[in-house]
Amino acid sequence: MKTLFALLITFNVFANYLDDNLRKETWDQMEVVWLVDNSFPTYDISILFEGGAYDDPKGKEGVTSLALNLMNLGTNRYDQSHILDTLDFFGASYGANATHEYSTYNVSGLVKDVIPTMKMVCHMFEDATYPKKELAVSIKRLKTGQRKMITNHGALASYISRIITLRKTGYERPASGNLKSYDRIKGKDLLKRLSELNKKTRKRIYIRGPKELSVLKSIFKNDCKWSNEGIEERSYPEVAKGVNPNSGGIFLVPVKNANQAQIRIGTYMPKDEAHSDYSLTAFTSKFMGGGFTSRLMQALRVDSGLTYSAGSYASPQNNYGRKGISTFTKNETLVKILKMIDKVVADNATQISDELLKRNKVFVKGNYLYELESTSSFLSTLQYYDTVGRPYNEIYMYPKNVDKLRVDAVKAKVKSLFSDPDNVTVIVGNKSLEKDLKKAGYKVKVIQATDYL
Amino acid sequence: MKFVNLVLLVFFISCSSHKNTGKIEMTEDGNQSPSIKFDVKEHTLDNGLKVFVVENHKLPIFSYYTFFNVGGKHETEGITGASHFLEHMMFKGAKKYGLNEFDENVEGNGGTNNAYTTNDMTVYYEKMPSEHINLIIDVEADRMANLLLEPKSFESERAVVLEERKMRYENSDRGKIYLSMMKAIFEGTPYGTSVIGKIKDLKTVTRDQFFDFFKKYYAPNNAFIFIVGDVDAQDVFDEVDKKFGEIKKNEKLEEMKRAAMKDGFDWRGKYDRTIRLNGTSVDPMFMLGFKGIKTGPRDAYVLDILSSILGDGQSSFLNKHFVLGKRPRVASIYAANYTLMESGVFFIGGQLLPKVGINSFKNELIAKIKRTCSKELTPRSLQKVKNQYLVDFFDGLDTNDGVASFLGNRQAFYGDYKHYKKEMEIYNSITLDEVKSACDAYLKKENSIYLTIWKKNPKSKERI
Repeated sequence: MKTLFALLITFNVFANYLDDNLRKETWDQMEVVWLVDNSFPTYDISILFEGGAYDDPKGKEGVTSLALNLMNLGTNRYDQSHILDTLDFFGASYGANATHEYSTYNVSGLVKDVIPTMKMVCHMFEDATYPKKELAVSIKRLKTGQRKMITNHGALASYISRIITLRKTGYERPASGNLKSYDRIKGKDLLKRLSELNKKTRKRIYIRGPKELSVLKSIFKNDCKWSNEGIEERSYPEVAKGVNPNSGGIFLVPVKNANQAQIRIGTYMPKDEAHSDYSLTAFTSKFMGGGFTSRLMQALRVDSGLTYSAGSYASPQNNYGRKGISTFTKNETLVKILKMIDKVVADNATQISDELLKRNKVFVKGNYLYELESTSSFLSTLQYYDTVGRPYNEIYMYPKNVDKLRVDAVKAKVKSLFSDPDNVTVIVGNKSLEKDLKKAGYKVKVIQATDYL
Repeated sequence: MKFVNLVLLVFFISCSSHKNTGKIEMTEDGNQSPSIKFDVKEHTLDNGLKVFVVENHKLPIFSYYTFFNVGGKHETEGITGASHFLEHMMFKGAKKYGLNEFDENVEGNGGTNNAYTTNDMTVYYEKMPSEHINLIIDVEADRMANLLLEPKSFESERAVVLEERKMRYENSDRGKIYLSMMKAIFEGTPYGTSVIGKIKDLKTVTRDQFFDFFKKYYAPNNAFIFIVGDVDAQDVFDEVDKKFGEIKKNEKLEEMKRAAMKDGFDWRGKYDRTIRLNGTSVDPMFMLGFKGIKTGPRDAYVLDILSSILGDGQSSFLNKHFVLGKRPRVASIYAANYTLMESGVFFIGGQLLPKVGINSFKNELIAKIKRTCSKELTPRSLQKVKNQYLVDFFDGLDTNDGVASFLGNRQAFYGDYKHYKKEMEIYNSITLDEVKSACDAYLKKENSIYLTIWKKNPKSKERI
């Protein structure tokens, strides 16, 4: 409580300063969230498009991501070399991230160069052509990168787990694309998608930096020609429970010469589950797998040395969510760790001491504060809250809500999050693990990584 | 329009986290240089332990970094990986704060902690609410003075380290090729053994060997502490005096270090050769490593700039030629200048596109580097890198953690946290001719080792 008290005292001292520095404005009907920050001569700008990879045409997964990330291949006025050289010369970092429900284009750099940098960014949005030759080179490069995933067993496990656990929900298709879709995507697809993002998609602007950045208002208007006027909100389908045919399954993805098994256990959350008891869900996820003293780390690493790392997550998106556990272990102890995970979940679903809960509350609250310490991270948090449709005051309320959590509620949440009968287990490891799993009574289905890449 | 509920604002008061905000100033020669000042207070104990404090009272939290001048280079045959393994054991209890109490005390009081080990040093760090500063000082002093190395947890952590090794290197082509490159370039020197250690050593190293290693290197005169946050410097110094003051210095520290690194850092590897590693990559990954230079000399800065010109960013020379050029050869490419305290390596890595010959690419790459350095470098390419460094300079300085790490690393590598003031001046003063000269001097085929890894390379009995 001392910590929280100290925070509140500190707040009183700085409230006025902050009140002057976090602004919400409207520029051409676009919401602008601006954290005015004079600490450094640098800026972060994030343009959020309320349209994501869910809209990618079937068989052309990755169109949204590529439309934004490949604008720098060339425009009618400038070739690729000129664009890259100009933006790199200003020391700017830039790039896009497409999720299923929204996309962002992010730019950072020095304030003194924000005008030429953003004018070039706007020029790309307005005039990108995706020239055939440059696009072909990029597609070839993307395919090589995709094939490379086979050498990163952790990334491969997470990638395949996402596809399998979201099967039939509409959100399972990879937002960044795959080997087959890369071959089908043409320049005209990218032009069409970019035009949709420019003209038919609502936008919100997030800014961190000093007052001089007010110049952005005219750049967005005159160079990007962006306005939300007349653009309707885009909403995506809500996910319901019980649609995934893979529920409850165990899948082994064989990779050659692996002496360690990567494990992902989890499933999707329907919208109502993803958004109910937000503080309880977030806390319980940290309680189980969010630090060295979390339940999974204690059992799997500290007490038994079965793994180097174990974590859990429960992350809501706007219309669905995902929850699960990830870890890895040597081939010889795969069955042991699977059984131990079950036991840790079962134990904590039935018994949590008051003292343990109290200590974890302190940890979670402290950790939460550090996550928001950086102004850039704080801005990202505001953006995330906007994308999942949650009010900002929940950010402040979270520590107080954590304080109110009771043992019974956390136990029940442990069960509903991590002992879901729909849980799908994906294991990436040596082919021999199939025998071990079957011998231990698991019904395992072997799938090939190449079918998912 | 102001929209935020005032009570929310407590969480981002760090937007004014430092009294001395960053600026960019024009230098006499027309370059731009970052200007930022930190009010660092320092104190040295009789036993040699140095403590640095930057007070920042904006949030009731602090970051606490402890740098030990011990790493992979201090390990001898039979105990490779000891520094990193010991880093794990430092969280396993000491005399006053027993088995697993370290994490309980940190996380149970609203903090987080972690550590990392390199070839040169081992660094521990915590973030905590400010009222627990004395607790952290006590816990840190306890483990420096009285580490337990409890037998059961020693064995359990041995298994954890072996799993970490599998995850980072044995099951990752990227990890394998990097480890092999470091081993080959630094062969016969203390940097030639990996920080993670050999499997054989990790399986056989004993608790007694660990105690010996710990007593040698975890001495107050081989460490310093950097604290940034809501603390009072004088109070911290008083408490550190009280808790660390009795810990004895290692009078023979330098002698022991010399003995551990008796082989010295002269180049002893076999260069101008190719190493083929068997992996799982569908398309070959490559690394071309060159003998480099240690941290400190002007050439180290010149090579930083050269690596950025060649392979940093989409408009770098290598990316434009090999990724985006008329005849693309690779899916990705990068260059890095890795300067260590005693030596260094300059390397270029990436992944080939399908059907690109491994050997022909090596020749093309070396030829392209030569051509770039002799004919293609321009004042603009140099200025571009200087601009990028200016942006990078401010990165991370808006948190206590970022400042502690920023200043602590300069103290560790240059023996002076104030070195950051000189860095951009040095970079700004570097000329195109210097970059060209360094390219000729360092990036020679006869000083290089080329490594590839993919599924079609033959299997080798040699283990990483």
